Amino acid sequence: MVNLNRRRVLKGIGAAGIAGLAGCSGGGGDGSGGSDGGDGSSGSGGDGSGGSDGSDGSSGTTTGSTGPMEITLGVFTPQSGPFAPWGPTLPTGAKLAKQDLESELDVSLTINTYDTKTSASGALDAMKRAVTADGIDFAQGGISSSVCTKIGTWASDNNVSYIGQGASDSLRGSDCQPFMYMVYQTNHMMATTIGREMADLTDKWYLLYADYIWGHNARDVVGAAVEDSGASVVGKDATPFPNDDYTQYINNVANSDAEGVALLIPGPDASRAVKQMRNQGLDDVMIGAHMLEDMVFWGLDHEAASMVDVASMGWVNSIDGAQEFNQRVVEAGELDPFARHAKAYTSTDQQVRAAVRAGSTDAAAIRDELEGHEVQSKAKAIHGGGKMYWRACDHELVTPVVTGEALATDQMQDDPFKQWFGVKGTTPGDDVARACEDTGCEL
Amino acid sequence: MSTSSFRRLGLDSLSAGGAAVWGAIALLLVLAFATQPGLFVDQFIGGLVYGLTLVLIALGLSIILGLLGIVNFAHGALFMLGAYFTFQIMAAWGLSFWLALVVAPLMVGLVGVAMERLILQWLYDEPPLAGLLAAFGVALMIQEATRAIWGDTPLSVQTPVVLSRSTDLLITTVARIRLFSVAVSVLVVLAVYLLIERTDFGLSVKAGVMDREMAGFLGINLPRRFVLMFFLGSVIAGIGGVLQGTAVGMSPTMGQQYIIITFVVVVVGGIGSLFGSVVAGLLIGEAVYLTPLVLRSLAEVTTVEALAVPGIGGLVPYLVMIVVLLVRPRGLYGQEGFME
Repeated sequence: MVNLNRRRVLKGIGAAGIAGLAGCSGGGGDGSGGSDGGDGSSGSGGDGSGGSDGSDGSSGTTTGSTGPMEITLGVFTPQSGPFAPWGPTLPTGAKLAKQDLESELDVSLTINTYDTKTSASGALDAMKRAVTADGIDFAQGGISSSVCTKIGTWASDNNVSYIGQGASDSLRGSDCQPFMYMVYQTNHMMATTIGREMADLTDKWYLLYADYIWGHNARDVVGAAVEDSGASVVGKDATPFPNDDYTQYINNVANSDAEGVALLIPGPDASRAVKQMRNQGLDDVMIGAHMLEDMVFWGLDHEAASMVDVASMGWVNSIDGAQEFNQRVVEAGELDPFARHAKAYTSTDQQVRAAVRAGSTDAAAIRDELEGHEVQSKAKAIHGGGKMYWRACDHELVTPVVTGEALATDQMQDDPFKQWFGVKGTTPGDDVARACEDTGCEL
Repeated sequence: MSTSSFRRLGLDSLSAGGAAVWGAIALLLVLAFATQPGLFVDQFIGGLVYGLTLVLIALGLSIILGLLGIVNFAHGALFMLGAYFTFQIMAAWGLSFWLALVVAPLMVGLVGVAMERLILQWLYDEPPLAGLLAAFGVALMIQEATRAIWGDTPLSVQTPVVLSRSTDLLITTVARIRLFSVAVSVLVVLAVYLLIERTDFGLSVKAGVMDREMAGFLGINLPRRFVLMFFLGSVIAGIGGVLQGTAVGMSPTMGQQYIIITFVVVVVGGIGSLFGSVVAGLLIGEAVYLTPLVLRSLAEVTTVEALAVPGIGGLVPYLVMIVVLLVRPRGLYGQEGFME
């Protein structure tokens, strides 16, 4: 394979290539001109003229190759285990980005897909195989934070660049890594957003939170945001995860003074809880949902889904600017467009563009390109056009948080794709992101 | 209560220590009721429903284990199939819940019979591990087939209008679907009891459970009864699946979530004892729902916040199992020598 990758660079073939790489790293590659098009970092502060210009990214390091820059991307997705329903979305998002990148840049992208099995050990095995046997240039994916932590740490230790989709704060805190990045808004950002919105809705809230680190973190942040905004938390319960039956916790809500219940429960379990609340007749209780991904509601009927009053979301397909993307997902994928499609698209888009700008897939070179870079590509439009940039201190893609609300049942769309939630508002990422010094990340 | 009833419940030999423990539990329950009567009733009914769901799965598991000596790991998958067949009948074919309640369990029963005839019957004389592994393999096959047919995404069906709301019980309101689940489960348990205790067929099955070889010598056609009991056990699991699927929805992992806890029920009840499975299912169901409430009430009264341990409900079945096995190593109603 005529390939531009870390191994070739490490072999040090060709002084020109080495020199080119050095230029990339030094200059930060703003791609001020060049064919990286809209993503060129015009907004990133444009630190200079150095580096490869990003026009095709291949000059200087391809050891004489005259063809397109060839990149092999490993997409890590859960094809089994609790998050298996999400599985098809990551490769679909990556493939859509590949189409755009290959038509716009002089790059040839090969996508290899690996099953994380929704387990840290299963994902780690896959990552080791992908790097050592299959020779991927960089990686993306992983949904649960434990998976992201495991494979991101290993990848970073082995100088492989990795963009994950975990939301846990620790991924941008105590567990952050030099070559690991996160494309999803953090737990803290979404919990702060929903906490404020909930306090605006009503005064007394009951928190149901999943009994593991993600849920505990959400409980603390949402609780604080609710109380800081003048409302109160009248009760809270830890619920097992995963869990089918929320009856005993709903009973606690029904027998409290709560006017609203916050579902700090990830994945399909949140939709189960909503359905059971409906069966229980709790129609007059407000529902706030944290980090809601609308796909989990698509197995329910419209009436049950319509009970959600407010939700913080990483992305929703009713966002302005996503229409074309939605259509392409419908044509390309098995699942209707939802957050993970957009995040997978963004991960591929950003990592490949960084490599092109750097003229290398070397992890250090990509890091130089991503840190501080402001997104200007289609990924920005898909996310509604708000400011998106890679924060250098913790490698978070700071992105606006969407506040969604269930549409009225007669306004819910099922064809050509499901659109059950509308955008109530967006909060700029910087307004709800933790300060760098509070993250605990020392990059 | 008659002397025999006391004996059956194990109360005839209650020691002073045992009486003190039961007394303390009763006192704690009274405290919880006095503190939050509405919530207590809600949780009691919730525990009853949960316990009866466990009973529905455990009954079939116990029948198959007792009669055939097979640790049927696929029983959770049959429970899950009951839920998915309900989805197929109601959502895909547009038929009613009431039809699903009858047809889906029968479909599950046929799957159970196919499993017994095609795979498990060849393993009756093999070491128990062979049957366990085969059943585990079948469970995985059913789960993956479910994924292939209905997908990974959790699904749900519309609860029938008459069951979709809650009923006012004066001090609280309870979802009607849950009350309906209680009623159906009690009827199923009664029907199984009458079948086993009051019919020749049931008595011959009991004879087979106690001594397969002797029952065979007496001319009882055990292979035919094996098939029928496998069918029955599967149907009961299917009924549980229909009720659970309608109340909370269905996902490919729902069988896995229940099968482990159901084995706990069977072990606590005493392997091979149907009566034990019923008692243990109800005990664990109520313990899971009431323990957090009792601890919270205790924390309120004593003002010791640490007593209200968050998330304790998930641990309770295993705590109950540990305690029961320490006191009665064969479970509540296990028979000496059975499966030993």
